[in-house]
Parts: sequence; C-alpha cells; structure tokens
Amino acid sequence: MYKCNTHPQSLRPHLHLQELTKQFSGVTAVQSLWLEVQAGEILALLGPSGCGKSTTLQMIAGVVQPDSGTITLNSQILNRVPPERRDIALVLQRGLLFPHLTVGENVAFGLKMRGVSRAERDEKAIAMLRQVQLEGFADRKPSELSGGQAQRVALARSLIIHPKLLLLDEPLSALDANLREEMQDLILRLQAQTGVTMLIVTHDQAEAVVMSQRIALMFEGCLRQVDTPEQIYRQPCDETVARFMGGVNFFAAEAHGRQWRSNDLTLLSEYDHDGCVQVTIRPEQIQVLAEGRSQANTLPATVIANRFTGTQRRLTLAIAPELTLQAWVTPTQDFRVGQSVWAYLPPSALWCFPHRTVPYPVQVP
Amino acid sequence: MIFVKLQPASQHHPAPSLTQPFPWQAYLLMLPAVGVVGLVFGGGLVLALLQSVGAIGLLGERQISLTAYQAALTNPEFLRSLSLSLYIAVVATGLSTLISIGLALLLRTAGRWASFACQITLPIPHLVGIVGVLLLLSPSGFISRSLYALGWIQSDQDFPLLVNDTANMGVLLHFLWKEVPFITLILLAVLRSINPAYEMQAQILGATPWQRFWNVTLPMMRTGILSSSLIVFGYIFASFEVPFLLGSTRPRTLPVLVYRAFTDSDITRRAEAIALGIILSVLSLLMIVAYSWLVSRGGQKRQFTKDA
Repeated sequence: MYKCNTHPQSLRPHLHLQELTKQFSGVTAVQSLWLEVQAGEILALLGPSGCGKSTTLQMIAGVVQPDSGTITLNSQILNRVPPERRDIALVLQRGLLFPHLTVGENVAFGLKMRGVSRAERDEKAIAMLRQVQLEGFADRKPSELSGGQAQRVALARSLIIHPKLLLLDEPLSALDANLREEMQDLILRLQAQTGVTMLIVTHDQAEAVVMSQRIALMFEGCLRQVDTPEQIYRQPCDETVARFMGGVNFFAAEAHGRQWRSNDLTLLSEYDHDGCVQVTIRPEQIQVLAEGRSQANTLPATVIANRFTGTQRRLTLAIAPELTLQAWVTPTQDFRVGQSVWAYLPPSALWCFPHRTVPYPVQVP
Repeated sequence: MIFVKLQPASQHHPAPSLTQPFPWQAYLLMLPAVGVVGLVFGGGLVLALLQSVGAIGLLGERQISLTAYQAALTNPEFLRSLSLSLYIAVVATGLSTLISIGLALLLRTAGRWASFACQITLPIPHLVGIVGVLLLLSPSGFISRSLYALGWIQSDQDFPLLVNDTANMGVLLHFLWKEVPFITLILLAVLRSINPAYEMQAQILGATPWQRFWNVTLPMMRTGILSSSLIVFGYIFASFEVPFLLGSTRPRTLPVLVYRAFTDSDITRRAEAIALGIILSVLSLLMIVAYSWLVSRGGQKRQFTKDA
C-alpha cells in the first residue's frame, strides 16, 4: 500500500536517469537518483529549497557533470554530450534574456546558433512570439518587458528550437499570483500544441499539482515518491511527503486490517494494514456536522478554534484528550468556538504509513 | 460597513525620482567640478585660441587673422605627423584592447591577485617605462648585449632597431606595457559583473564556445571595451614624451611637432604651434563625438520587418 514508487516501470521512457549522484565539496546534492519521464509527459520535480532538484536539472542540461550515473534521452547516453548538442532547452526563474538583444533576436537566438538564415529565423521568431501572445514585441529590448512578458519570451526562445526536452527551473516563482495562473495556462497550452516533454522544477506543491501529470518528490538529494498529483496528495508514502503536501492531521494508531484503533476510538478505513501506524487525513476531507448521525467514523468533537481565511474556514476540533484534528470547511459553515459538533472521517480519506518514533526532517516552504 | 480605499505609499509621500531631478539642482551640484575644469582647461584653451587667431599678440601687437592655422595646415610635415599619430594610436590601442580581452577572459576566474597584478604598472610614470624600454631594447641595451654575450649577434649593428625607429616599435611596446594592464583591469571588472548564467543559457540554446564569446560575452563587454579603449586612444594620440623619446625623428607625431614649433628659435612660429595644438584638441573632440555615435549606433534596434 505504500506509494514509494521511485522507479516506475514504463514501456517508452523518453528521459531516463540512472543512479545519478552529485556531490559538491563533500556534500551530497543528489544521491543515486532513478527517474523515468515518458515522451510528451509533464513531470514536476518537487521539493524544498536545497533538496537537489535544480542540480538534477543542470545535470540533465549538461552544465553540471554528475559524479556517477547515466542520463539517457531517446536511448542516447548524454553524459559526454556537450550541452549545446543535447537538444534540451532550459527556462530559468527570471527568464535571463540577453540584454543586448531585442526580444525578436532573443527568440531567434537558438536558430542563429544553428545557422538558420536571418529571414527564416525572423519569420519563425515572429510566429513564436504570436504563440506566446507577444505579437508586436519583437523590436523591444528585454528591459522594456514586465516579468511575465520576459518569461514568455524565454519560453518562446526555448520552444523555437523544438527541443527534445524542455526543462523549467522555478519558471513562475518570480511572478505574482494572477500572472502565475496565466503563465501556467500558457505553458500547458504550448505543451499540448508542441507535445514537448517537460520537466518542471518547483518548490510550490500547488504549482506542481496543477501543472504536472506526475510529481517526483525530492528530499535531501533523494527521490521519496513519484506518482500522480492526486495519489501523492491523497496517499503520501510517509509523513514528510504528507506534511510537504500540506498535511496537518497526524496521529498514531494500532491497525488490524481495516480497523484502526486510536485514543479508544475505532476507525474504519478502506485500506488494510497491521501494526503500529501513523494515520493522516487531509483537513478538507473531514466533514463537520452540527447534528450527529449513526455512521461509522462519525465522532463527537468540540470546536476549539475557528479561523476564517477568505476561501475557507479552518476549524480545530478536539476529538479525544490527545487527539485534535483540523477540518477545513466552506466559509458558509460557521461554527462557534466551544460548540459541540460531529466530525465525519470518510474511510476512503483515512491513510496511514508505518509509525516513526523519530520524525522525518520537515522543511515546509 | 465603511470601506477605506488604501492608497499606495508613494501617493502619500512621493519619493524623489532619480529620473526627473530638478535641473538647477543638478547643475549646481556639478558647479565645483565644472568650475575647475572650465578654469584650468577651458581657460587655457580659450587663451590659446585667442593667441592663435592673433587676438592676443605674442609681442604685444594685435592683428586678427587665420595665418597661424594656414601655416599649420600647409606645413608639409602636418599630414605626415597626423598620420603617424593616428597610426601609433590606432595600432597601440587596437593591440592593447585585443590582448586585454584575451587576458581578461583568461583571468576571469582567477582570484584577487589578477586585479592586483594589473594595478602594478598603473602608478609607474611613463618616463620610468621609457627608460626601461631604452635600457632593454636600444642597440646597446640589455637584450642586445645578452645576445652578443651568447654569440647570437656579432655586433650591436646586428640587433634590429627598436627605439627611435621608423616603425615606432619602441613606442608601441611601451604603450602595450602601460595600457594592457589598464584595459585588462577594467575588462576584468566588467567580465566579473556579467552573470555567467547568460553564457550557460546560450550554451544550452546551442551556442559553441566561439558563438558564446561572439554573441554573448563580447557584446556584454562592449561598453567597457569602448570606454577603456577611448581613454587609451585619446591619451596615446595626444602623448608627447613617449614618441619624443622613443619615436622616430622624422616624421614626428603631432604633439612632438607642436612642441618643436613652440620651442623653435623663431618666436613667430609660436602662433602656428598654438594653432596646431588647437587642431589637436579639435581632433580629440571629434573622436569623442565619433565614440558617442558608435555607442548610440550600437544601441539601435534592428527592425523586424514583418512585425507590427
């Protein structure tokens, strides 16, 4: 039942990283990393700052050499191929447009390096700018662009060379929230149009969930879980992953098959397990009811805190002397502090992993 | 319920804008610097101009005319001197710049010692350098004597003439020794301020090492190269003591020609010397204008014809 699927078997891997390891001055940045990315897939490399995800990206791009392990793209081992001949594009956090070139020249840069004639690359650059909704910007200087526009130009500059693989290193982290959503849509639309395989590095779990088909979660240079966003969200492989994905409810229990006992309470789950476990449930999946009902996993509780965040109401519920859970309900569901309520924990939402006495190092952004 | 519309802080307390300063304030702040430059250099230049057109007579007489300029420009040596000055300035500046670009690229990742090494020659006066070149490269210099001692040459006559020669090799070598560290120092600072991620980005986009240098590194060094080479060019073009002591005796560079005319036993040639000096100043000014034009031309955008 544990979803530590770090090396999924696939039929047609496009990018294949095997035992990739990198150390800087004796400090391990990436440790024996295995990863496969399918052709046309969008995979997010997610993890806290300093976990080695950008180093992994730089090794794939070829600007950092791995100490050991192999990088294979379309069955070709890339380790000894220089970056300029890998046909991989990289978009960095701030776009990094060449300041001495115009927007059009920036977009056409990769074509110029490939010896494409000026007329052809100008035509392609303008078409590419149209695709990123920057028609008419070709003659501007990068200094005349906003952050979002610069990032779109960087994207156009990378896509114009039709890369085999597009790497995006925190591409949206410098943008404000509204712009970020626009850019997410644009990137996904362009990916759908071009079918390019994409590897996105991000520390923002919401961004990873929205943008990718699969998430590879990294902690301290190691891959912890590779799965679909939904699986990683609902069925994390351990407490570190669960906390990183925004989990806040954790409690110890004794599992006997689908019956889990904790604090003199018996909970039913859809998942089988035996022994000492750490149970988790996402706060938005707990249902808070004013009236009780005779249904399994419906527990009497008292509201001990109520915080309104605009889009939701965050309730803290005291269920047993040593068991408090957070439930995030809609803003219209208003409960008083001190009010007696009923908390329903759906069996499908209760998830567990082996109990650890020493917690994982957690670094939530 | 009362909604209070919050104004951005800048609307409450407008911050002083750097892009729109009060002009009179800026001019006032520039006054001390402009005053010194204006009095010392501008005053001297105006005085020279007045003398060259005869508004102030050298011997008390006053007769306004352009005779001095006519004499300067019809001087058979003028064009040859101008050509020689330009040749020395162009070759010395060009070579210094090329060598400095290479050195700066080589020393880019070197430690602080590189910048320190470049500063060693800066405080050494040109005269000391000239003496050094004479001691090393003259027919009776250290190298010539060493080669003789080794038996490679039979006499100092076999040693190539490198000082006071027609090709001005000694002058060029002296300027290279003095200016290469200066330009390298400036270019090192420029190079170290360039984010290496630009070159990395270019490499990933398919640029070979040469393409990276030509399309990214060099254009980003452009301002530093132009400004440092302009300073060096201006200095070499107007330099007197180096070509005077190490250069060819005929033709002479323009500043040497000015000096010769100014110290001529015929005191009436002074007006011509001053006119030559004014011409030299005008030429230097024209070069600054040409530089500004070059910089603004580089900043012009190439039009994408098919774009709106």
